[in-house]
Amino acid sequence: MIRIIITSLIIAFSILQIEAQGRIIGLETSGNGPFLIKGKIVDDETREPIIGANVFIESLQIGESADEEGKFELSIPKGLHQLRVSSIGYEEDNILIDIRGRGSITIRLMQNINQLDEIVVTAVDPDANIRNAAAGVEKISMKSIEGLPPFVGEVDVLKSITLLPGVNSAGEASSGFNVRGGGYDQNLILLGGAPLYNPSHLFGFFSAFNSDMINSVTLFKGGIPSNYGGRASSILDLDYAKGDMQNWSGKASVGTISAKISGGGPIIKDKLSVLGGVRVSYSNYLLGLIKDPNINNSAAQFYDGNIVLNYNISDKSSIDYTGYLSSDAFNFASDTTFAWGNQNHVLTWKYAFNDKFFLKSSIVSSQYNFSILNNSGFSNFTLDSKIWDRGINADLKYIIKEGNELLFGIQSKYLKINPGSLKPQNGESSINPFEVPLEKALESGAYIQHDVELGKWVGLSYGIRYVDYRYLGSKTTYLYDELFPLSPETVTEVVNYESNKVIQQYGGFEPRVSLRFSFTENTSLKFGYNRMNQFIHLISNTATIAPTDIWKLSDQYIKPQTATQYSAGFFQNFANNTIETSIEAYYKSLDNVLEYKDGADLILNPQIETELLSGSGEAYGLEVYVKKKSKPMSGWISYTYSRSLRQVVGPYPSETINNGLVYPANYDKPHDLTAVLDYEINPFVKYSAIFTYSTGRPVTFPSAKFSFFGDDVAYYDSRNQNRILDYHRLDMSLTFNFNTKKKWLRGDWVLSVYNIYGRKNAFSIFFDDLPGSPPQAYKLAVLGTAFPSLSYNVEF
Amino acid sequence: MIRNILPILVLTVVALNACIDPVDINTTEEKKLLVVEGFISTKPGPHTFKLSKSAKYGSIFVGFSQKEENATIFIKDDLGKQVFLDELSPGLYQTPKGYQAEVGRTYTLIINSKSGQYISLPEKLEPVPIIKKLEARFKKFPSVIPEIFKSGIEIYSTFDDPADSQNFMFWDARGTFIMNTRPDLFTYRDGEGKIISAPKDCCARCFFEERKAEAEFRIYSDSKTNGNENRVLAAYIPDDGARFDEKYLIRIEQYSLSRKAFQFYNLLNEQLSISGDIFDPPPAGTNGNIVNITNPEQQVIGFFHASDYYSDSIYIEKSAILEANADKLVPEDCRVLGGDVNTPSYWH
Repeated sequence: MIRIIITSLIIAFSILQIEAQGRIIGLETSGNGPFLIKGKIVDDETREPIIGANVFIESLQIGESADEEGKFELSIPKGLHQLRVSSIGYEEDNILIDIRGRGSITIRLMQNINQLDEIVVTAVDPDANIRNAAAGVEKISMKSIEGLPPFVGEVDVLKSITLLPGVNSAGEASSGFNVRGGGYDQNLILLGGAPLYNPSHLFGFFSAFNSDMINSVTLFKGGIPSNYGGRASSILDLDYAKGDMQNWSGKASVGTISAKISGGGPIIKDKLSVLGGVRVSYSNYLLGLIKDPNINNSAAQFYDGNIVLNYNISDKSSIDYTGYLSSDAFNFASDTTFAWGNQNHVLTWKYAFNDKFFLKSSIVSSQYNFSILNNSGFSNFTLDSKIWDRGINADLKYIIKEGNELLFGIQSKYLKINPGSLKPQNGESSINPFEVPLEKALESGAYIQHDVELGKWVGLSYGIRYVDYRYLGSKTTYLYDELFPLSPETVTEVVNYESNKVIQQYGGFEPRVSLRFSFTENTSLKFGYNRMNQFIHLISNTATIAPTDIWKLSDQYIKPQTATQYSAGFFQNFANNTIETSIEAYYKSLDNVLEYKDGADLILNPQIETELLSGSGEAYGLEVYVKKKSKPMSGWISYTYSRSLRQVVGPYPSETINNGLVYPANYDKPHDLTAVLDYEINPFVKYSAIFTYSTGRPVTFPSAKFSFFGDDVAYYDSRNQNRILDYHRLDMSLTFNFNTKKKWLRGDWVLSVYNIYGRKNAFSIFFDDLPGSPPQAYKLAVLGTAFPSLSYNVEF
Repeated sequence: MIRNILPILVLTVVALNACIDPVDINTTEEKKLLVVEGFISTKPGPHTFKLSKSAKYGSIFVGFSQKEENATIFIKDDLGKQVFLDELSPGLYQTPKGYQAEVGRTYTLIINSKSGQYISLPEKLEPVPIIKKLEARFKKFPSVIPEIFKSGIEIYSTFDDPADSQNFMFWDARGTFIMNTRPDLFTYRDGEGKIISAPKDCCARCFFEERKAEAEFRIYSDSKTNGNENRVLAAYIPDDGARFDEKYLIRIEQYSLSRKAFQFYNLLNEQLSISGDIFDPPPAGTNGNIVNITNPEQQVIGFFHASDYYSDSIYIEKSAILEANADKLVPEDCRVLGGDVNTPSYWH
């Protein structure tokens, strides 16, 4: 097993070695040339020649344009040269070539998909990582995510995010991810501008959105611009793709558990385009095939659908609509079904007052609902909960001059939560209907941000956001005796608030600063500071995110979570920006993080404040990142050292965790190493691999055992003082691309193996006194074997 | 309701790839805390209390839980009445025979031992509803191999929940059954390991008594069912091939609890149900309402409560086992296994 890892890494590094020397052309020949080099430039996807593409060697000041067959000829002396290849509609490529004699070369250029996009130009400059003022911002194209080995035939955006430095997750069966030591709920996931409350299908095995509908993914770990707010740790902005204004096209993919199809094109050419996608699981059918009655009597299914409409009203204004729907239902061979779903709508109007002043205004609606249906005879019930998140935004951008922009705007949202309503399903049930009162709040923000280039070597981005939060009635609230821990028994007064009356208000300024100093064209040093407030919290008394978790708004007892982050980074690019390196360090302090009393009762509790504790936290880390962007071999290696610590000290022992001492957060994993390799063996076969390693997450070992009514029970009095075994995993995939000249049918077969050496990575370690064995520790591994899968993707 | 399904849920999703294995982990810490096991009720005494010390978590040979001997224990009520307990055997203490707690009174437990002085918070004795009906239902769990399955009998208690108060309860169960063994097939191994046949003449039919046969505490809160007629699972008797040889008598004891006592048992159930899945609660200290006044920093495990008691019993005929597990063949004198050949006085 170790041998496989080492061999794989050796292969990866030896390929890297060859690459750094440049692409060798010709056999070793005596003399220094110049030698005649024949070349051909083709489209990366279609393999069709690119007529008129330009090749240029700057150091020699020679170049040529490709003929009608995409061919060119150049006389080049022996040695290393930088060949720049460009063509309209394609991304420029810089290739290092090592001329040894006469020879030939085929160059493939990637289409610049954003070239024709009128409204949003998302093309990223090759040296964007150096030139942007902000540190801690990761932008990944869907193209690079699609290159990663899929799990059960599906490319997964959220799993890809966890491969980046500073991001980790609790394990296989968890949908959440943690950014720089922050909690799961501290990430704002924006799908086309609408917040997504549950980003996963099937308890975290899949992301809840169709990757074919996504154009780009931007993760803000730090350097968060002032136009974003509402969550304490990070922003994950998923930008939708758009339907083409000229031609119709589509994609379909069949995987082991699900299938998806998407397509789009012009409804009115150059005026109105549509893009739609649907993804459906057929896991129910698969479960039925398994012999285990626990499993074939179970049901697990999900689907999601998206639609994107773009309408160009005039040169100056456009309207976009995006809609999203997802649904999950899971039932284990029993009487309990879990169901959840998201529903988002965003309507955006963009208007250019002139070529310097732009408005983007939007109406956003996001809904999330979760239900448990229980059919067990006498106590059958339905438990529903729901979040309504509705907002309006007006964002303005004024370009003072090139490299000097002003962004400002106002954003407001109305939040409503049904924390839980319980109903008997029929007359047989002894359950009484019960409703936890609705929660309502108004969260608003106003911001201004100035992005300015101060000469060539200094960039500054600074801004401030003011947030105002009002927790609204109608609501019955409770006052408690201050001399005792909060408990239903210590209520001293019951206060009723009328509808829309402000019960509690919070507000504050959130300064954001990013500063860049460049020393050369390829080197920069960046500093960042940001402060974020969060008014909505995930109440989850489990080690990882679970579908039973509920959301809670800040009220007079639950103060907003606040994160303050300081970061610094050093960025250096090599080989004409094809190799990016960076080292970033951060320190983050967290206030009012939520914790729970021992044995907290969180479901359907109208006095949930009596079960919650407030703590503080700090996180710090160092992230090292090396990325290689050119072809045929690309990939990255990232290493993160980080800590995320918590402390809860209350006035009473029942309000204190770990005896008031600092303890690691559930997702504190100090060492985290990821290596991603993407290698094009030839135009038709691509190999990719991911290796990840991380320290095992913290767990609590018992400090004693005791005998109680015949059972041996573990006794715990500390928190997270031990760790599960280290996690590591290697995934590999081969993609076979059967390209034909016929554009209407191009297919990819993707063969992938997840966890190729079948490591039984521990998801958890627990202690149990099972009959027939002594009380002892057990390890639960979610995936105990290598997991192969096959999928077929086709474009039409 | 949600908790037990997750390990298998995770299994389901990845189609049988998940696995649970024992791992060798040495815990280093050893907390020696006082463990108090016992409560008083309106049932005629004696009421038994066990005092012991917690030990290192490990195999039975590693951590040995010591009895707390020679302690003075007494129970005091809100009228100032005190009842002393006698030490029956090391660590085992009893109230006088016939001692009964009373509804509406408040009780406190006081312990003086060599490790310190302990006192419980006062516990008020609340009334418990009566059992209107007991019902037995056959329960079979799904299994991979159809011939090998787990099954047993669920006992449901029906009662009227009082609408004017918050009610918390727990159930204890005591079973009596007849087991038929085969002493005529008795064998033993001699010094060289050879199996020697040594048929015994007696005894093939014994009565056995047992306390509830499951690890979980059966508890109830009326927070969602206040004022209704309830039918609640009060006990589960697994069919092990021996219990239902003839018929099984189960006595269900229905006890009232205070809110705090309910929370303690609930916490204990949570801790017992930790199974490594995503719904696992964080590990927590199972401390109750007993305080060490000599050293208040030191935690005490256990909860002292005073409960009202109501009891009823039913016979479960062999025919109630709709799908029987293979009979267990026990080649031994049933008395050696703890059985009694005499029919108990309550058996009919």
